Amino acid sequence: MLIRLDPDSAEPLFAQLASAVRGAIARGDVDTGERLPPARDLAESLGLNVHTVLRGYQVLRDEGLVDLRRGRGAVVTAGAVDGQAALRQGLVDLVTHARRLGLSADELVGLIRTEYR
Amino acid sequence: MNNARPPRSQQSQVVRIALAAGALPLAVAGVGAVAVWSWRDDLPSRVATRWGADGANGFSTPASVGWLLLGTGLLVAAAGLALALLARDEPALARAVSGTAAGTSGFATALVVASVERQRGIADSAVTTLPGWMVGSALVAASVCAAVAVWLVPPRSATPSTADAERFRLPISATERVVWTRSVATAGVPTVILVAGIGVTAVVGMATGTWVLVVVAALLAALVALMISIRVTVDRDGLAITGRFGWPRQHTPLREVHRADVAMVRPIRDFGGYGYRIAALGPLRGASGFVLRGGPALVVERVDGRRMVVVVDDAATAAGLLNVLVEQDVSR
Repeated sequence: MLIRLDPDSAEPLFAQLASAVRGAIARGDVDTGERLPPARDLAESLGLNVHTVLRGYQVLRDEGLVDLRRGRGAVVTAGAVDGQAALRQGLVDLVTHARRLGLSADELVGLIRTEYR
Repeated sequence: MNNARPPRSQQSQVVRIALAAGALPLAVAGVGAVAVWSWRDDLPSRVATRWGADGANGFSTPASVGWLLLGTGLLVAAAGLALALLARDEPALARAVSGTAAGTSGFATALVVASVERQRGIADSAVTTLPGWMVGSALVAASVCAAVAVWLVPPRSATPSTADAERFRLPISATERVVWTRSVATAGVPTVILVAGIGVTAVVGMATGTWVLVVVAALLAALVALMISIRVTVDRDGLAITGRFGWPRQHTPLREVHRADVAMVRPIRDFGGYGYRIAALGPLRGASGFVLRGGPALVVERVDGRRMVVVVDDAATAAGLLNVLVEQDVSR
């Protein structure tokens, strides 16, 4: 998985980290039961404080995407992958349906944006 | 440790290979043969040279032991020399062959010499035994010989390829904090074979009471556990490959990386098997690295000409990131 953090962004680094991991799980870069890198190693690679990484991992734990276990580290839960898989499936269904109705990608995106508000 | 050095002449490389793969194994065996020969007056007329589960069951005269040792050394040196010279354009391979030849000769010599030395001054060789520690110390001797041979043949200091065509690149800004990391596990079939082999060794050892086998099985199991899965990481420190439990650890700093690419690896065809390998033939000849399974692999060409390989998913992103980080590396 690829993690890119922008220190100049308004979003705090731990939140960016959590987003990056969330995206990796969604894309299937990490699988159920896989361990994320140890917080210490990830902090060293990214030039961050260990606590920043831990905070990011805790966000993911609170969302139910990873389990934090002593000695094992952060492990991706089945729910995480299933949840993302369900989303991906919903997406496929959505796009299929939209195509049938003759919607362009941009039009569909517009509808999605409206729904988000 | 290995920075770019001025190009070494072909001739000097051949001489070094001849020393490491030919002269060294032969010399080691020769020393052993001379030692055995020098003890001939102390030894019984027949010395034990083979042991089974119930003691010594093979005997030879001291003279034959000496000749056998010399003959073995000659054979190993000849084979080692031939193979190493064939591989003289691929230093990684030449080093591996030289180390194997020297190590083999060292092991055989150390074991024979130690077991014969033990029989000096005794009347009846039928009651001698081969203690386990002798095998251990022979392994140590073998490692030392192998290390000397490998040291004699330096890695190539070639000018790396200047082809800039189609480098993988991942656009990263210099201020971004970035890391790419993946874990790779050994392919299913080789794992099953490994585990089965270790299990059989352990069971046979326990059933026959040959505890050396059980110890070997335990050592193998530990090795397998260390290498069964690895983590590959690319960041601004370079490329790091670590075993599941933190060891072994191979780190290549950015300044030692020339370029990164992707290649498709077929373990048996390109590397002759699975695990930590060196390629002897094929398009990846001379490259060494972690081939835990087949598929896309990150291939790193180092500044000193060596090529490193690690089979891992999404190698293209890793290569792209590594190339860009190398570009941005200010210490160059």
